[in-house]
Amino acid sequence: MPTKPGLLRRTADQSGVGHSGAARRRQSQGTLLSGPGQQSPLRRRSGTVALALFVLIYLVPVLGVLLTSLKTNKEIAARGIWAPSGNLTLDNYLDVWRNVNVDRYLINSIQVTVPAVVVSIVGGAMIGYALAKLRPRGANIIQMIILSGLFVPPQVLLVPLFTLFRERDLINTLWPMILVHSAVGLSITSLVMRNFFDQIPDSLRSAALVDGAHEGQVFIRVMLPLARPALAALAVLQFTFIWNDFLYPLVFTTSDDVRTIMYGLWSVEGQYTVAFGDQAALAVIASVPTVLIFLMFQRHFIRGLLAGAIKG
Amino acid sequence: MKPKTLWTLLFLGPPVALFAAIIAVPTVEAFRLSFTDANILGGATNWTGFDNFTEAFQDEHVRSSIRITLLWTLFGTVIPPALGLGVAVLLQNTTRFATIMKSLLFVPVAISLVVVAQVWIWIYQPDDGLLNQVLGLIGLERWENAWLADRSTALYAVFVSWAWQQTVLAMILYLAGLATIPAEYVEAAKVDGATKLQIYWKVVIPVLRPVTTVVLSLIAINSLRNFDLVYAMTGGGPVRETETMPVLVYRTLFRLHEQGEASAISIILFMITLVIVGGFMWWGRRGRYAD
Repeated sequence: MPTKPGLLRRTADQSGVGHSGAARRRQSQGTLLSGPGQQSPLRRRSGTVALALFVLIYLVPVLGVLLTSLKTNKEIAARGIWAPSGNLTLDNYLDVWRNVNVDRYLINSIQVTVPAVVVSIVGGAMIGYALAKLRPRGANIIQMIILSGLFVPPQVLLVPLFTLFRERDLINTLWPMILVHSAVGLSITSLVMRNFFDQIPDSLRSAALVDGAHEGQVFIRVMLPLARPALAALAVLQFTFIWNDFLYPLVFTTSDDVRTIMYGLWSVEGQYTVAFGDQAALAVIASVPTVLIFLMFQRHFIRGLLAGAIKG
Repeated sequence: MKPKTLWTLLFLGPPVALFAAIIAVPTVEAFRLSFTDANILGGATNWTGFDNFTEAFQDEHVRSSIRITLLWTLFGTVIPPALGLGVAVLLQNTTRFATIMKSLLFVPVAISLVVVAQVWIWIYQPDDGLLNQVLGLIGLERWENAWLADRSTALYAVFVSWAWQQTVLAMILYLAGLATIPAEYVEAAKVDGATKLQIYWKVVIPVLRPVTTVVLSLIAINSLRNFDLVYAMTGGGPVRETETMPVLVYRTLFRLHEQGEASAISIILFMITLVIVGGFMWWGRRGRYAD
């Protein structure tokens, strides 16, 4: 059982303002980078409680959406969004599924996200491999130019791209979103893949070439399988980024048939004509894919973020 | 042609062509347009030199949007990284339970800014929003406010919801960075009699410098591009009090149809991004002798 003094002491330690000499001594032996083994069971328990409490408070916004999506709209109207609730129901989900274009939005999101993730990663791997292993003249200039894409705000591209897509009659199709996300992603994917292939010994490539493989086979049969961790990291990163995007559907679509789930969510957001319970249910539906993928592959995601800049 | 040259072209050609068509050429085109009076509705386009830029710098809305974006970036690169590092230090536990709690804490990063906007609109609601209810509960009724409608609080209210998400991003990166610090560094400092504060200040934070560079660059880029959250929460209002540069570009383009002016503002944003993010990267590289 966590006792009160334990809880207090632990929080004092955590906030780093423990004033008593004893507390400070305990800190200095502390847990900076050591495992839990050196802590007393009591402190560990109270630390656990404090941690759980902190996480709970931090996630109140997430829990709020989740709870609201499960309440009846009658109750929300009577007692407000944030009132704790007794009877939960899935009615809002059924409601949203019937009344909003959810299935269309979801299919569009998938049709944009999956090809854009694949193209940006495969393209990045091709660039990364060529620069790291075939080492053409000007490799660093090519890398610099593609990397500079990271600095270009999307708003710079909006004006010319809108004209480009309008001239080719692509406004109000899924193509602008697929193309833009594929190209924007190349900056980070090519950087991460080049760093990855740089670390793979050249001998692997030459050995395969001596065995009679051509460059394409080396890339597909030898290099890509080796690069699975980097590819997974980038897949999580790109999926989250593209699925959650809202700007490009806003700019490049004009009808509901080609809009993605984030646009759909935005269009009902803050509308008093759409019940709050339904809005919340839609938000949960829109978030489930990225949250699930993130929880399953979070290690990859972190590596994806760190990989580029630290080694680069 | 040698086979290797051919293969290089095969590997580089398609993705580089895609990049050129969608990013590089349009960026150059944006520069060109920023020196014209092009209009989205068509009509003759004239070369106007630096007119768009001089007009932009004289326009009070442009100046206000630059100020808001810079303020946002300043807060953004200070508050979420500092909080994120603090939380990461406190969460270094490796017990099973702590690991599960940490994964849950990652959720805000996985959700879209559109969803973040929605729930924080509900938190800030004047009548039965969570914030006003909590203030009422603890006896601070007179602080209750229409947070997003009040000109003096709207920007900060939107920023808090953004910081809520970006803090988690910083925390994730710092957690990963902390895990890579060799225990000997800390042990050696302890043997030398360093206090905990000294260990963090003199050992941990300097060693984390590459991670800090990533955190600052990433959050600066996110700050400068901030469109989704503001647009979904306030649309730039009330009375353009939260109009960041990206929101202004969008408005200039799709409400006023002025491509030239919109391009000029977006180019100014591009330049600001280069200076700020480039600055962080330069700062990060300077410290690399430590490797």
